[in-house]
Amino acid sequence: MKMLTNEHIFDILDGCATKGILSQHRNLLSVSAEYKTYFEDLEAIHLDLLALPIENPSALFTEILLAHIAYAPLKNTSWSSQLTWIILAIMSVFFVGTISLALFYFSNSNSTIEIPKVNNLNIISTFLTEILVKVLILVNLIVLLAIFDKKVLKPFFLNKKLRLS
Amino acid sequence: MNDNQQDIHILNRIRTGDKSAFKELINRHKDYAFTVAYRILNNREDAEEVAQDAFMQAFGALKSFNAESKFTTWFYRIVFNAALMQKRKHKVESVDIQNSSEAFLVRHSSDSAEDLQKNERKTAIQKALRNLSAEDTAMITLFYLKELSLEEIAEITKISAETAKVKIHRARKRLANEMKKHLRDEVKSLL
Repeated sequence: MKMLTNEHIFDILDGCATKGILSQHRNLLSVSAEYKTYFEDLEAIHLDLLALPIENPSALFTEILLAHIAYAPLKNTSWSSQLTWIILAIMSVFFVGTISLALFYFSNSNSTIEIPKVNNLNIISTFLTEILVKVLILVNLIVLLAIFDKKVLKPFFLNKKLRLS
Repeated sequence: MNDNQQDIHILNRIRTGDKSAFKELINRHKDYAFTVAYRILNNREDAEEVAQDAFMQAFGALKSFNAESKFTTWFYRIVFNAALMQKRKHKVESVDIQNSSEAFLVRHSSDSAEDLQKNERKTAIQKALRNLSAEDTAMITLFYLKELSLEEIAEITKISAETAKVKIHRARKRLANEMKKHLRDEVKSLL
């Protein structure tokens, strides 16, 4: 008699074998001692797996997690997901502003527009003074420090505190 | 109200800012999340960390959860991925002291012969599970612990139901081989 494959035996154990397979299985059980032993081995493992207990985490699991949640409250929408809309909003404000300014200017001027001749290099050199550069560097440093504090230092010390507790 | 409807109800409460709902949801799923992570990682501390991270990830991504699908499937996928990622990060095998043979002997020194045999089988199967690959262990755990359907397992592991079925069969076959090997070693050590 043809032996059943592992897949068929597992189907029997899972209760999803076809009638044909089940009758073949019953025949094999009565005829082949080797098959019987093999089936019983797999069945024992199946039952052992069913009886495996659910593990329990430590008693403080929920408390620690709630402390994490309290520190990082649920955000409705993240900054990155809103970024597209923010850029689009800024662009549309600029667009509407430019159009309305242009309309206002053209409706109020009868003469031709006189564009003053300005030396661009002069403007840049006026702004890029030594003091301005220093102020910009300082602002950048403060921003960098704030980011470092928020992204690295605060999570590190929070984790340490929670582990100690 | 079935389990999933209860989960959805709790999620809606979280969305409206009900802080107690967090605790309720954690308590409903912490054991299973921890067990899945623990079976894959074989280390209680790591498993606890992974389960907690999974909860944090889930809370952070609640917006992306589609209320028409099952919460557990979505959440267990997060746990499964987090545990596998942790496993890849720490390739070095760690042995949980609570599951060592010595600890077993101390714990069960006063048990009857029948209890001892039962517990020994339990330990053997846990040892055999530890010798399987993370994927095999995960498949078996998902299949047996809450008796998830093949479709649910397929959704969690992002494979087809048919592939999930084949993988579970193969994992069980490998587990049976591991068990045989383990029992053979036990007999050898007795002789």
